Amino acid sequence: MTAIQAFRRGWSAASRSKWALLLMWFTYALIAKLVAVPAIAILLDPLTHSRVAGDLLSHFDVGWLGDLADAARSATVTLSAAGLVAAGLTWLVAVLFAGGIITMLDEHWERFSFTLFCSGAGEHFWRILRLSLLGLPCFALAWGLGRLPSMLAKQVYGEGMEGWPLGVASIIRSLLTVLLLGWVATALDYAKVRLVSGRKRGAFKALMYSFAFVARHLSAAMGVWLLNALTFALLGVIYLKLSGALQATTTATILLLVVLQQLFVLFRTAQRIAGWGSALEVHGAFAEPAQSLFEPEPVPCVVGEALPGVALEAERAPEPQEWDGYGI
Amino acid sequence: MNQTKSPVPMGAVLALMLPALLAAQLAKPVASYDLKASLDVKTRIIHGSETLVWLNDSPDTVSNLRFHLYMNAFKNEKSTFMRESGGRLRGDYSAKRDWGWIDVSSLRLDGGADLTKSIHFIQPDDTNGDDQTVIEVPLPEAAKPGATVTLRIGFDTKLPEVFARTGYHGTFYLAGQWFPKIGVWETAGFRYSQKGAWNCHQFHAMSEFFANFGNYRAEITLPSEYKIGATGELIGKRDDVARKTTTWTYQQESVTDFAWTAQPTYLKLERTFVAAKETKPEDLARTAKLFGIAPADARLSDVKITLMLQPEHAEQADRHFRAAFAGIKGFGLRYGHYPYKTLTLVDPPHGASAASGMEYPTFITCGTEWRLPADVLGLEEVTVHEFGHQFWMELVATNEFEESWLDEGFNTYSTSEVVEENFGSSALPFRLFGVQMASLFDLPRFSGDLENRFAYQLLPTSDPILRSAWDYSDTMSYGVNSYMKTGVFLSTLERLMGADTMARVMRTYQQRYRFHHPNSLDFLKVVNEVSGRDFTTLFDQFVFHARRLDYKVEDVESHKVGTWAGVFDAGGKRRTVTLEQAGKSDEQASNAKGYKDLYETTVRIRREGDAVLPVEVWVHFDDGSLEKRQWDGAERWARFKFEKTAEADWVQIDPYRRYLLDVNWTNDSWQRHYPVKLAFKWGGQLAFWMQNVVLCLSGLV
Repeated sequence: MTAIQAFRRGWSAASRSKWALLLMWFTYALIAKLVAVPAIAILLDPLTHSRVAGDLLSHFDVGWLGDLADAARSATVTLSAAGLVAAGLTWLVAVLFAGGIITMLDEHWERFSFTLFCSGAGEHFWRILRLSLLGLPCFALAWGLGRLPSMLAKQVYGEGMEGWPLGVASIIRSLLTVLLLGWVATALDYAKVRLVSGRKRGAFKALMYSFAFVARHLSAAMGVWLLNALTFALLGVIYLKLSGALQATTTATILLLVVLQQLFVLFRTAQRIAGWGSALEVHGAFAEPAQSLFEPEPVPCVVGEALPGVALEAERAPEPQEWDGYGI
Repeated sequence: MNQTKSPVPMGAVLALMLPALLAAQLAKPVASYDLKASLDVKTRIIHGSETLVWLNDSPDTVSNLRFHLYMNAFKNEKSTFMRESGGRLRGDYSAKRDWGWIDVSSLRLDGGADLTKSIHFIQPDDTNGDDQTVIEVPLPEAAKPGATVTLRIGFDTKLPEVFARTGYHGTFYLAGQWFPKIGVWETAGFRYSQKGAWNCHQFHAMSEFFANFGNYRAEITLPSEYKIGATGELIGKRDDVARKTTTWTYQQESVTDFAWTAQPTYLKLERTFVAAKETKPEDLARTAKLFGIAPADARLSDVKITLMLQPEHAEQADRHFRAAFAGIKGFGLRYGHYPYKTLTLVDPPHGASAASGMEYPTFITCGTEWRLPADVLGLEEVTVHEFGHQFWMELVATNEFEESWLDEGFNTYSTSEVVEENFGSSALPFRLFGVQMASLFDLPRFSGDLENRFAYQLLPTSDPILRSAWDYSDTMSYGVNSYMKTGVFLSTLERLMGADTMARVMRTYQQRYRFHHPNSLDFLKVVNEVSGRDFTTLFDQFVFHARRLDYKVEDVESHKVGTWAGVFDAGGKRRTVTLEQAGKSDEQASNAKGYKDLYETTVRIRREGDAVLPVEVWVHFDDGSLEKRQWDGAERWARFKFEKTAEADWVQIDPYRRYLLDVNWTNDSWQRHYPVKLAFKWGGQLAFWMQNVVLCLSGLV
């Protein structure tokens, strides 16, 4: 399977997931409001009956921010608290969505089933939560590794009289950081797919497996990521150009701007689903059979001579399930 | 000590120089120097000697001399400079690996006594006995009024790793404040002085310099591969093939200091600002008309500009020259022509940013970086600003130690005008993968005025504008007050008296005190004199004290006025009007053709801050009428009442926004209608960006 095929199938899956998409969009929008509403209240309160509001509608005057100096100091605590709550909620909700939506994608459902969604979200909640926590040091490591070019350049050229090596290193650092973060994010997606699709419980093993899997199938796995990144960049530029060109001062243009914004957010939300869909496709195409290097199949054994009854039970027993330990 | 020997006695050299110097004299030379310096690039030591001719330009008899030894600020951690700065200044820090110092090896009266042994360190500003940045030398014979004292001084200056404007980095050298420099004798009536005394401050973290005018000549010997830039005009070059050195001679009259730079890999570029080409007749005509002078007097003079550029910034050469041209023209037309023939722009290399953004006479250091985006005007702002110091600090030679606002603040104000006029506003430096993204993201652009007010709003009352540089509450307060708050203050002054009057004030101040040493009160005098108004109160509240200006529309209420109910005595009769009767009367009246309800509107304005200034208040009504009122601001609040057939729909304090110093413009106005569209638009924007943040966060899961 090529990256393009996986990318297309991922988006095809996303396009079939309209209800899931809307649910995800709506939930994240609500969480965003947790911060946006108090922030806008703080911003607008002094403007409520100020003529400055009229000027700000036609053109944002950055100088006005200085007028908020006093208000901003007192608002810091409120907004920080709101931000922390929103971050916590986002984390939990993202875990639930990952479990629910990957389950549905894995089942190749045709219609949105809230029951199936909830079942997947609940069943995989803890393992995906553990996975997400394991992902944090990986992201931190990627961030740190991404800084290496700059650190090296500083070590080598820092005392020098030319800035260009550091400038070039800074560009390389940005690219490398994005690439490494993308790699970790991709590996986390594959780990989720493995946890859900393979009914695994070991988050750590799944993560390790996924890093290896992404490395083995780099062109397909990271190719999909690259295509998504390029699509994001392209649509991002289009959005920024359009919104910049739109002089949103009338009701109609403001509405148009809001619609444009939400279309962009919908695209980004769909991209998450498409990413999982692509991961399922690539994983399905390349994943190894159950016996993997990381998860040895346990062999039932009996110590000593088996009693006849026990032997009979053993014969009746279903196919041994793959054991993958407890927790991480 | 390895002093450079001069084949001709110093006194003779000066005597020979004098007629030539006097011919081009712009200022009375009080402290003139003949400097000789030889840089040892291995030890980073400048072996130097100087002949100082000091004129006692006062009616006092002076019995001792004081000198600055600025470089000792970098000698150890015990110096006042290092203690105050903690080794950090202007975003840079001292690596404290290679210290700087200056040793005076000999100090003799020309043809007279050796005073070396009587040199002793003093600390006029604090009790830090370890500070060695000022020395005092008693004279064997006191200098009479009008007498000159000629001194021959030998010294060694070890340059530190570049920090706080001076030092070396790799093969780059910036030698500023590198020689023993005499203080300023202030006789009674000179600036704030009540009796004759030396003004010779220790070198503090938050201060720059102060010196008398004089004529400078310097011979600088460097390894031959080094390229040099320096204050003044290059008048000679002598190669010593055997020692592989070159001696460069520079000369400049009527300046207060001498600095130089050297680096073998500099790109040394030269262009000339040709005044006739760069200024159009209409520029001169406009200037002449504005200042009431003849167009010929508005003319600028040609300036030879030397740019010492880092090779990796080669593509920015034009930007440097354009900025210098803009400065010469912008400042010249506003305040009078730049009187020197040369200007040297220095571009310090990467790693030597501590030397960037600094001003010396006819010699400035700029500031840029590799591939600086074209729409980020940092380069232009720094170059114009440092050039501006030729006017505010060099030509009008104020005391930077004690009145930093007179140079930094004035220059901030002037720089904003010239940069805005020539280059517009600057984009934010926001780069992704090395590509400038500010315009794609439609980020707001910043002008100097905006930056100034923004910084001022963060710290409006930390200190008065006028303070000795080391007496501000902290570094931030020094910066905001000396630069930005002064910029806002002068812009406020401009709005209060009008742009043309303000231009005349600034030009008069510049012209009157060119080659002199005025103080804050001198500026106030010029302001009052030229504007014809008394701005003492404004100065008192913001320059000499730290008051907060904040007017606010506290309350606006319009209510309908109908028939009054109650008991009324009229014409000897008593009449009772019940509420019902009053209501009925109103109803009947409202049915009449052309009837309009009568409203009583009450507007209450409050003075939130402790600054008291007169202010204008406009009240606008539904019917389009506008009522204008004046308030002196003396009380805490004022109430204005209006009875009209319309309700107030908006109120505006200070409608022309003259008080840039008002810390909050948002509360200066009131309007009846709630800005629903604004709430919707901003709500949408904020929610959108928060949704993106949430999505990014969910991507970590």
